[in-house]
Amino acid sequence: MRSSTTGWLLLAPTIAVLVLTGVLPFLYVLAISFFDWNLFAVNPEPRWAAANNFRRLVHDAEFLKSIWLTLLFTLWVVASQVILGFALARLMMRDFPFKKVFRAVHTLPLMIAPIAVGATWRLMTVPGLGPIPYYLKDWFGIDYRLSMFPDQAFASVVVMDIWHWTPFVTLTILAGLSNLPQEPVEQARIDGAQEWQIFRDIVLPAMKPVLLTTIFIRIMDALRVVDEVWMLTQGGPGAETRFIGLHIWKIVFPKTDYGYGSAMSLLTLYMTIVICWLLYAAMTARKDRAS
Amino acid sequence: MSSVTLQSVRKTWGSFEALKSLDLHIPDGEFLVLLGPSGCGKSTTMRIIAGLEEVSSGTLLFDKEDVTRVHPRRRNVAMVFQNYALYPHMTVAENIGYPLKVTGVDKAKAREQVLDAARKVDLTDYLQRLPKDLSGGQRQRVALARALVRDPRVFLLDEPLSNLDAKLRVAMRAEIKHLQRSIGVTMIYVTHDQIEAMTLADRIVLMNKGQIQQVGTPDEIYDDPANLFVAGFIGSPPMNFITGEVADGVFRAPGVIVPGAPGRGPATLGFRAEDVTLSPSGAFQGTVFEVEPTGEATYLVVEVGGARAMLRTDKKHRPALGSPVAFDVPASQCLFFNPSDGLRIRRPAPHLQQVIA
Repeated sequence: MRSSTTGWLLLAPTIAVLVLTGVLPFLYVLAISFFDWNLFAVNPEPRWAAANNFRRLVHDAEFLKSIWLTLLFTLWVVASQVILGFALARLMMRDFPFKKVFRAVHTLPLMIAPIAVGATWRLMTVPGLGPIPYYLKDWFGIDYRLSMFPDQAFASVVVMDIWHWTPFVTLTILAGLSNLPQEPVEQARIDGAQEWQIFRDIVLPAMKPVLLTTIFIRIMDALRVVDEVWMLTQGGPGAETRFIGLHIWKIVFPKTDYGYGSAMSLLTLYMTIVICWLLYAAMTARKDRAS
Repeated sequence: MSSVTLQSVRKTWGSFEALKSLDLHIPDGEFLVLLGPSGCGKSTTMRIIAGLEEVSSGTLLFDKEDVTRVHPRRRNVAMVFQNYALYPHMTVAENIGYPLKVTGVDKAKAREQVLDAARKVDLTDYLQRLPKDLSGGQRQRVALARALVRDPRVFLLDEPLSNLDAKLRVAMRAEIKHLQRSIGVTMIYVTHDQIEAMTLADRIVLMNKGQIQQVGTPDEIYDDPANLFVAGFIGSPPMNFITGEVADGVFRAPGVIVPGAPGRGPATLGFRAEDVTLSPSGAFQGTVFEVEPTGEATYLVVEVGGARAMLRTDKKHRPALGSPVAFDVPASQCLFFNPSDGLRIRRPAPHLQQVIA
């Protein structure tokens, strides 16, 4: 009895902070999503709107497009980062000259604030000033203008995110790989397995928990990306790189449509949870079927 | 199944010499035990045979075929690791069948072979379990079955029993020996446990500091050690050593006079606890330091010749601490070593004169 009271007392500060910064704002957003509330409207008071905001979402072509773009973006960046990160981590498990220098330089993007990443990439992509348009024209004859070609804008945002976040994936996978017991791998080698079979049958299954965690973190990050993209393209040209985060920002701040913005945020959260859950189910189901 | 030959095999890591020019021939079907303290190079030797380590120089032959640079995948050896190295996400059946799966053996045939291997180690009831649901002994048997499943040329076991409890270890020891005899495979077994080595081996290779100290049958190693290290490593309790001086064929140390000693100058006398007979007029005079009853016998720790020695005596024998004790050792059981290099000083001719006070 006494130990349980002490336990709760010790936990209290953490719980208080969590409630204040996590639970309350969430409940607040949940409540607002059921109101019409626009500070600069004729009637600035919140008005009960029941499920109207959510009904509006389903038919909002702009919002649906931003969801589609975000999913596409997430798929591209997470897949590329995991594949690239795994390859780099495998490389760093070996010894090669200047490995430490390479590892340090490779990790640099991680330490740069997203807003600075966006600014740097913007500088590099400005036509007539940045090196990227210059060399693309010079070497490949490509007319590279972010503000004109949606595909180029989308690709640039994807490449920037890969550049920024692959080191994170590399580091987590590297940590997982270095903790992997060597005996099963050696055993498989003696058992007659080829290197690709060892990777498929031994390394990959053993890395599954690390991979899942990494992929979850990256999916959650990618789904709510805002700052870098805002600096590079402002969601343009048109709305071609306006991902959910940017879209919500536009609804909530310039348009001050708080209720509708809250509804969008909730749906995004819900979507994130569902995606992660589906992925988890898919990745663990394979194991059950095997046994 | 094949013979294994190592010719001047060396292995270095930077300036550290793990193996110093090893020469060893293991005939087809032999049960060979590599024995030695940790860091003596026995595991390195095994990993070189498996192909997990490359030699720095030297040659490795399977029968007459040079496999020094052959990838482990193509050597067709089977290995059991100390911690079994089971694939944790595969069932017992999948674990055993993995060597067949990766080499593309037909599925129906593979299933039969898996069953066959599982039967040999009595695992047929556990085929659908995961390794984490098995006991230590069962995991050990899975590792054995996985090694058995594909008819390897050489069978390697790296301290396979050290993770088991004492009782199971004795049982598995007998099973492994029986298995080796029944399939007649060349088996190389690494251990630091001399009892395991003595009970299992056709021949023992005793190693220390990257060098072979002695190769021989368990009896040869026990009765006829080549140097102080071998004499002190094998046997429980280990051999007793007394340092003294040989002059005119007589070994002398405080309280000890043993005639019939070879050579001259400083020498170390070695004898085993069980070769001792108590006798009031014995050539060895000492005092009882401690008494250790073990149930089957009573061991006396005796201070003699400036050293401590263990004597095996009758189980009922309980002398008082500090009391004088005198004993004899047959001349044939008195071994002499050179204390500076540790090598055995052998008698020029058999000399079976009984030791007299």
